[in-house]
Amino acid sequence: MIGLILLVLLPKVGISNYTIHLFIITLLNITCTVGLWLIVETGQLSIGHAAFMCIGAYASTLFVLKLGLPFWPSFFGAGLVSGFIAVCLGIPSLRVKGAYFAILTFGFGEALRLIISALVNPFGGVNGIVGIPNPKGFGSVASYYYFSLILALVSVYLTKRLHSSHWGLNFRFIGHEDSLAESVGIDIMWHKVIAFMLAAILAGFAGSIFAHYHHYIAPDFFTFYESVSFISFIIVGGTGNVWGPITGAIVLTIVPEVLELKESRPLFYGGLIMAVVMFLQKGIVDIPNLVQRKIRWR
Amino acid sequence: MEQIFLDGLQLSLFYILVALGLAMVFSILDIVNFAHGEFYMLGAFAVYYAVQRWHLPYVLGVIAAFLFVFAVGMFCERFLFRRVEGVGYNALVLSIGLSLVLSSGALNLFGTRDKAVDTVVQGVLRLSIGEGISISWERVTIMACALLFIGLTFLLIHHTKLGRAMRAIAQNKAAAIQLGVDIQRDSMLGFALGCGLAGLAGAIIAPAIYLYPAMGLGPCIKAFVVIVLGGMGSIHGVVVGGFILGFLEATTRFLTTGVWADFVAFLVLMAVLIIKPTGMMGQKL
Amino acid sequence: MALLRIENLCKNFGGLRALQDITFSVGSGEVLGIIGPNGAGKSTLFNVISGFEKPTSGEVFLAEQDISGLKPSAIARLGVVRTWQENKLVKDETVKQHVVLSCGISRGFRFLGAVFNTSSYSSSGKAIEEKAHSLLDSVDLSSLSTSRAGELTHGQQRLLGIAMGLACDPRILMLDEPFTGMNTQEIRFASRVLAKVMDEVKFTLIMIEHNMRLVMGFCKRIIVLDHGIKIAEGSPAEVSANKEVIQAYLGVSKHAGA
Repeated sequence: MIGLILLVLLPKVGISNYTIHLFIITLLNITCTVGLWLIVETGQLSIGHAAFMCIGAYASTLFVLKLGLPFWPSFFGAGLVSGFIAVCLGIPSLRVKGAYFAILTFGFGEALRLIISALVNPFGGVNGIVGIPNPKGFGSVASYYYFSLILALVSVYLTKRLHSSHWGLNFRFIGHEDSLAESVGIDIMWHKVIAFMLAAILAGFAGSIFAHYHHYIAPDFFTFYESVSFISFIIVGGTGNVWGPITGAIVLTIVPEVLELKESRPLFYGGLIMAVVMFLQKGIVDIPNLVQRKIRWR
Repeated sequence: MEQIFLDGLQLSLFYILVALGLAMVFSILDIVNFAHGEFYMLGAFAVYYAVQRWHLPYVLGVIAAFLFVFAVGMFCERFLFRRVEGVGYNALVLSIGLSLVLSSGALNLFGTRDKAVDTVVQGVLRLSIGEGISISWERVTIMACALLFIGLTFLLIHHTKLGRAMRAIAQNKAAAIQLGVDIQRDSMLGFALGCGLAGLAGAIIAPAIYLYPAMGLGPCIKAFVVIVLGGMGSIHGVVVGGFILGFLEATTRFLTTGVWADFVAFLVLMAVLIIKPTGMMGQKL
Repeated sequence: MALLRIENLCKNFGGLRALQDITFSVGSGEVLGIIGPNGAGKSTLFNVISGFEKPTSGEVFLAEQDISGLKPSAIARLGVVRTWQENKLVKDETVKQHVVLSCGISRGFRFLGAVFNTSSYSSSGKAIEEKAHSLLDSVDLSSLSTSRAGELTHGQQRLLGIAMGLACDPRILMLDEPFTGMNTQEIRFASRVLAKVMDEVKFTLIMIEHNMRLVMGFCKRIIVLDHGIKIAEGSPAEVSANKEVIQAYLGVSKHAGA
């Protein structure tokens, strides 16, 4: 695949650090978003997903700084901690559906942010933690780029495979008619918890990379607004297949940068969400279909 | 002890006023409005402009704020929410988008510097309860206004034609249609009223706090806690939920710091949703 | 030994007593009909047996194993599969996908297999596809296998529901008003299909139906519910002569085919 080769060769071509930074953030966003997409497929709208990236970031940081662990165990530990908390939260919460679940995840995200802001020891409180070191062998921006790329590729592969398999079929039926799924033997809670856990693990890994790349984390990096951003990637991009969240993440991460929107970024995301919900039920990915349909009517 | 009671009372009344509109919108239109906090913010900013820029008297400013937010609410229902009626998460997601648009729009329009509205009522009221408590007239006014608007709302709901229509729609849409209720118009008015109440809450608290575009998030979250506690379909439940949260928070604030009070509110929210999603008095799920 | 045994089953919804002290058993290979006027509690009975509602008191025994508290999916996997009276199909998924979903009951979790598309995973996938095809064939929906479920006629949707139930290889198949909404032709076809499948596979069938002629023709034994109470049990002849049964149906408009 040409695209893949291009992506791999990217840092060699002398593009600016800023562009690579943009790519890294986009790749991390893709990782978080495709995971969240699985949760959404099971019919649960989680608007607290940034919390799991936050957990991963702080876990990885604390493993390295406070426990003195080397990077790789910390990285995997971050994913595990995130996944574990997701399971603990998910088992009681995923029984709750619809708007109630959305409110609950909203509450969870805010509660987590508040607790981290309140505890200066060990979380550094509102000011966060600075001086997060580069792992061994990760000196350059390019190395973080490759790391994010690999993680994104793994996430996309995993998510796509699940979606095309009986897992995806089960998820979709659970999302649309869960009693029908139950009556043919599908254990709803089990599937929902697995989806929730996987998404959290991926977000945790992304959080860990972010923490070490950025060298600084604070609770304000992982707010309701960030969680909503992930949701907007999915909504704008479309939910039908894995390319929806990917497209959404790419377009919505890059376009605001290109347009140099700073404070208007939420305005842009919000406006797009509203436009898509009102006019384009299936997201941007569906635009080719819509165009085709319009042409056929002529 | 008396401190907790007064703080709790003030918080409760305020939360009830903020949450009343949210509960109304949910029970009449089945919409979970995540942009509710932004209407609160608009009310506060409207008062700011009316009082500080156009030099209107405060009372006029509050009325103007209500009318302004009411109008914005009407527009949103008619042209935005009505388009996405009924389909799954659409209204909820739309409200999230609206929340971002309004708060970010406000940021662009009003700038990043905090705004302040001049104190309306000066002086301090000294009550000789226990060891003698003093409470500013400002806080008393806020409580009185909140109580007034809450009372007016309940009067409207129970003793006017519109109120009866709204209750009918909330209980059984099909039956309401049979009874000749104009669903579209009365739902729109209900939505606008709900937003207007949030705007009123913002307007009455404006003199006491600093205004900034993202100020709606906190009260919005508290409003959700209140209606979950009280039961999401129930208007009366808002009163119950409001008092529970208000006094819980006042007690926590007294014992520790503000941040923990917010955290406790969330724990309660999550616990109620997990254990008894219908809350104290709600029926709809 | 009875395959399914219901003992003193009660279900209350708040103050409403939907099921009161229901007791009966079903033998392996039997065809049991459950009839009664609207609101008699028939669907509630299905919901409780299949685990979608918990009984207020009483037990449900499957081969002497108490299944009363289990999750619906667990009960389905133990072999008690029910279909739905309301339209519960997923409009945007294809007919075939619905049956494939139901075949997955035997698949287990197979996480790694799915992710890496191992040869054992894909061969089990192929086996499921073939099974789905033959099931769709038997209900004559093969030509519609790639159509979206939302495009089917009402009668076709019921047939799909039956196919989904059969895909689970049930020990007991519970059909909730399978013929409601079908025209005469569809009913004739569907009953032939059902008879044929039962001949081949010999599972136990419990059916809720309003169409008296069908129930009397299909079922060797019938249970009559009224207001949550079992008012009669016996052969079609016995039940139709039963005074209480006739009384219960008085005032209810006659159903087609009666």
